[in-house]
Amino acid sequence: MKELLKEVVASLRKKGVDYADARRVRTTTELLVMKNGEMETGSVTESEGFGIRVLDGGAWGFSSSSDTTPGAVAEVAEQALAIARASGRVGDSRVILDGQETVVDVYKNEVSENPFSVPLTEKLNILARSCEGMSKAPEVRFATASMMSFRNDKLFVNTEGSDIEQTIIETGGGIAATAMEGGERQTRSYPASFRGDYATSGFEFTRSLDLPGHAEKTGREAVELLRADECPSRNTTLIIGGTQLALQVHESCGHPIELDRVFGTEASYAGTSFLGVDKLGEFRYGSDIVNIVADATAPGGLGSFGYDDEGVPAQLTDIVREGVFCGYLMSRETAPRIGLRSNGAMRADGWGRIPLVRMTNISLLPGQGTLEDIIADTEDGIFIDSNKSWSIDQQRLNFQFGCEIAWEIKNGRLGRMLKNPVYTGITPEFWGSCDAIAGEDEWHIWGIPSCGKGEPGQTAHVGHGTSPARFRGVEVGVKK
Amino acid sequence: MITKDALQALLRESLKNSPADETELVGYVNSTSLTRFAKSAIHQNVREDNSSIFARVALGKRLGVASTNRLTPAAIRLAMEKATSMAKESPEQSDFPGLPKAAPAAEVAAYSAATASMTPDERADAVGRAAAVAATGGVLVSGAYRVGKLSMAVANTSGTEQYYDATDAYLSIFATDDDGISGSAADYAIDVGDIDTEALARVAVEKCKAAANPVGIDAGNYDVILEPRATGEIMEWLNFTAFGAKQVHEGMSFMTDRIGEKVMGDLVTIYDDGTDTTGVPIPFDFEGVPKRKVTIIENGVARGPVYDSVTAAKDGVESTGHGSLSVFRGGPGCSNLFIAGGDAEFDDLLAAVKRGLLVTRFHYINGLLDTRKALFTGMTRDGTFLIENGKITKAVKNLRFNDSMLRAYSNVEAVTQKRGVAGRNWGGIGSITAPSVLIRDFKFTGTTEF
Repeated sequence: MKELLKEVVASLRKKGVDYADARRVRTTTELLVMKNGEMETGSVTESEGFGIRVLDGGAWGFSSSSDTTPGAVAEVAEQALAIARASGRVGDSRVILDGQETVVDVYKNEVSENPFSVPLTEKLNILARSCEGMSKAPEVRFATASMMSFRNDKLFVNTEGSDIEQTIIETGGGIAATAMEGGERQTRSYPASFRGDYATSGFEFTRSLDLPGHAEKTGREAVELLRADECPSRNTTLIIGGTQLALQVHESCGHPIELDRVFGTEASYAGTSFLGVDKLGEFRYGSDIVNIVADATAPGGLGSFGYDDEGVPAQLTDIVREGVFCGYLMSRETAPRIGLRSNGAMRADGWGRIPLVRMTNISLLPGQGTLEDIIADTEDGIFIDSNKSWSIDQQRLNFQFGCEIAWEIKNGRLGRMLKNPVYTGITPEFWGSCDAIAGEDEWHIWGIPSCGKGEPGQTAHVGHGTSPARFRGVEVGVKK
Repeated sequence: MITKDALQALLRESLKNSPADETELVGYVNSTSLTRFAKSAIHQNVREDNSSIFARVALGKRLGVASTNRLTPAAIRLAMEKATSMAKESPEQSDFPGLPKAAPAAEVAAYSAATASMTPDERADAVGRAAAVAATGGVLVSGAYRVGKLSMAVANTSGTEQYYDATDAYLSIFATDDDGISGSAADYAIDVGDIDTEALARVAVEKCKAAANPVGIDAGNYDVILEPRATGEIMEWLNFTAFGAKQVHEGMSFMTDRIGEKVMGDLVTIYDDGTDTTGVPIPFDFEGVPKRKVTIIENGVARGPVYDSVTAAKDGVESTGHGSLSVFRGGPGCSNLFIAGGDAEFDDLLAAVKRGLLVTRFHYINGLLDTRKALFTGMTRDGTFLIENGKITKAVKNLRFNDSMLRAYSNVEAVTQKRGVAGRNWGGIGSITAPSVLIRDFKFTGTTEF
């Protein structure tokens, strides 16, 4: 297949196109979901195909197919060229790509235990024991345990001579207990809500989550939530746990730093960004202790890889340094428009979709001390964690998050459990109020395998390193 | 694309080689082309041709699923073997009633040759026409023009054989001025000939110009007119959290323990109809079961959810033909939603508002705050206007709402006769057809800077 793709790219080059690349992608996904000890879903999905991207006369065309025969490859290349020429019929903007080095390389992420070689019975046993543990509390009506494994084999060649092979394996899982009583329903999850936690890793990562070992506590907390007091509505100090802070970073920092959004190419769908180019290097995004990076090289991060889908090496970029906004996620097309080079953030969902500017691992760097220290230093406030709902405006300013659980803080100690907590804010005001971030010991890269963007819709696997952090003067309980 | 006869023969022959007790094969062959534009220039222009086979097998009540996107007997056989290996090791699904028996589905006209053959040049020309309309208004346009064709076949070892060809076309146009003020319009149809590019562009441009110089207003309770897309976006989340039998069984739906009760206002009737060509029809589900018309809310009374074969067996009823693709864990859901129209004109709604808001559409709705109460949040976007004494007087900056959709839709006071058709935001063929509605006392809790 690689030779076929090289030939078709060479033929496009002979036709005088500005640039062309071809990607062959083969994906395998295993999804196992068990509910109350019964199988809800057990599936293995496989998909293979290729996509050809052509830049001709300064305009893009892309075509793709699951038919990998030589005739189909040649036809798809012709389609991509014809589409590029159609694109050039409207508007007078012309795409110019940055200069990049030619890359010939093979990349594989570190894997100790191939998840597709682990016996199914062993995986199902982990899920069954997890369901059993959560169900020890009789009020738990639904005990759900799930795990997913992904294998992604990619070939990339382009008219500049790059030739890259990558194999990326990802695993992870999670559990959720839903307790019901008197018409009320509360869910508690571990290690994170909505599918759990994921990493670029072998099955050793899924094992390390120890889902069965956390099942009983998860079920118990779901029941305790039924009887907990409603989270009061007030302006207060908020300490946010790592899993929720990961989504806070995702929505209020990760998306607005995508440079294609800034230039308006997502305006009609996902929206634009408040972080316009006039703000780069100038705008106070957060307090002095807020440091955020985009790091596609972080070992194990779900947004880690060797090369992006334009063949640009994975990189570490400062996004916010001592509170000041200083970097974007960029592509070869968008970076030159602000005088920079791509920092390797173009990622495509499989073979049939074009790469877009996507998050890698967007991480809040650790501060000092521990969560316990921060709580001890807080006279009055709320500790909140585990996402339940999310919403943010199309420029990424006004956000609102609901969480599974919270605890009152009084005089430096955790007090009563609170249910249905919700908080809201405006992004730069919120990050400006951050006055404590826990240290490295509690810092973890949370893997989110479900970041949506683009038309047709694409799903990306991204990571967010966080440790618990404190924010002052936050509006809590706005749903009242 | 593979022909109907070839696809059906491939599934039929493959079933003979299945090692399982029962087997279902879904063939899903699609070609999608999409032209995206921003600031009146095309920035993304793509095509994807794919052919997938999804195999669901049963060994007694043990199930497994596998898929391939190779349309060959060997690849399908391998997928069935992988699904069977999964089933062998898996615990039982006690509610599994066996695969559905054969039943005829309605013939629906859902295919347009014009849509299927639309070229990249034709889409580019349409974008050019939209840009020209925008230029006369001194603004720029963004958006997407998508056309797709789909062939879907379902066959199982219980004798089910279904086949369906469809096309759909979607055009969204989003006009923006130099200050970033936006207005938008969109349409969705089987036939591209039913989409009027210039008319949509004019609506988007007019909205954009009317939305200029927005003023900030305080959050609070307002009478509100929701245009069809705004209502459709709420319905999409209600479908996800409440309209399927699985959500009812698992205590997630507002209908759990409340079927037969009044949950919304007299003027609210919501139904799913896979054969109504007002939207984009789908005559059978992913289990091959013919779709029935299901009234979910009738004059405000909860009548019940939609079913697939598993949830139907649990309740001792027949499937309504709303099963989802086996590879996903979701239960049944609606794909052809309708909110019944009323007898009002849009101007009647305006005239009935002393001081309120007109909402063109919402952004980033989330309906997971408290699903039993249908408590939703979301932002307005692309044109939010103040209504005073029955007239639109000025544009306002966007607001965040937090409200129970049961409370809100209990306060519906007028519904327009005219309805709009929208595609489903979350992809897949199908549609939501909705009127504009006047809701009293809708709860906005926050504001933003634009």
